[in-house]
Amino acid sequence: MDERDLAQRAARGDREAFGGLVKEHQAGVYNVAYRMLGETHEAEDATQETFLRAYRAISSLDSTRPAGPWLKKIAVNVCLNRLKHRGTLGLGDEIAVPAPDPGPEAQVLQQEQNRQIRAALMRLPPHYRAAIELRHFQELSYAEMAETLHRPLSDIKSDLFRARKMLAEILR
Amino acid sequence: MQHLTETHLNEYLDNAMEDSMRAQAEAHLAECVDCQARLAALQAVFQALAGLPEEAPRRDLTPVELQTRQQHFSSKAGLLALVFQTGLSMIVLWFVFPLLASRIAGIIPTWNGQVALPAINLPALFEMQTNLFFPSLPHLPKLSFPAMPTSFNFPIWVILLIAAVMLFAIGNFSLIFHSTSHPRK
Repeated sequence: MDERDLAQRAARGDREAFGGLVKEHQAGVYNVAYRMLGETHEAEDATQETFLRAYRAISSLDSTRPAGPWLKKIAVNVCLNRLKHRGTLGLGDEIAVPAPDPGPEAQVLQQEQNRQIRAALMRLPPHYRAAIELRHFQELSYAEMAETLHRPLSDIKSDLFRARKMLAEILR
Repeated sequence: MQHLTETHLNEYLDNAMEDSMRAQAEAHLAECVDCQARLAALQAVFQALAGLPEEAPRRDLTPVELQTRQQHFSSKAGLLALVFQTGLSMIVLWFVFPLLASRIAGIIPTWNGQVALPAINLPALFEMQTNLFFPSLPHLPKLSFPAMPTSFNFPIWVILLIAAVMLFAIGNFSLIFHSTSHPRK
């Protein structure tokens, strides 16, 4: 059964089909949560919360379109809610992104670079993080981002541009 | 043209600039070292983010609530088996338990299949209550009540049949619900 069939059945309330969508998209949704929250256990919890919310809002799933982007947008909002309760780290704070495993030198260097990027993302305020996630990883347009985050287009652009500037400074 | 603003640079990289504006920006970038450096700094961010790999989840992240529902409703074969087993065992029990019951009745000769009911004298009870709460009303009408049964016939094989069906159902349901209400690790 392809994803479109799954989505159509899930939108009609078929729990088994929704389970199929969960299996299909859990890695993608988990990565959204991991990039935004930077912590494995919380990302796992946020992934599960995303699927529960999606299940409750299954009537809003447009079965003619891929379910992945719909689920990832829900994930971004779930993570934003969690970040609101958590607060933001300052530029000087330590980030608990896991250190790379030892291995061949090039691999270690790559892992260290990835760790630095994830740590840099964790230094961004929640809305900046969401803007980076939606634009760079989900490849939404400015208008789609504004719709997803329920915010004015001008605010979205401002957040995105400031987020990039902050990242450039942190990663320099 | 003046230096490109942050908005110009970002919209340029996002391909969100109108064609005419984009042409002007490219013309300016071709000759402005400052703007080239600012653009390069932003491009480095784009590249860093694009190179970030996806991580595989360490376990199945299907929420427990959805696992239970999903498995419960997806295991149509399991439900069918449950109905079939219950029906089959009812038929078997129907034939087997009367035989067993006669043997068990032989083992327990003191029980004659009757369950004694508590003897309650309703007219006396009613009179006692009215005297207690309404002592100033001595001439209440006398009510008549039908005679209460003193025992009820309960064949032993019916009790055994009910017990067996209950045990079977509890065992099967507990097996099914136990196996579907825990998250897979």
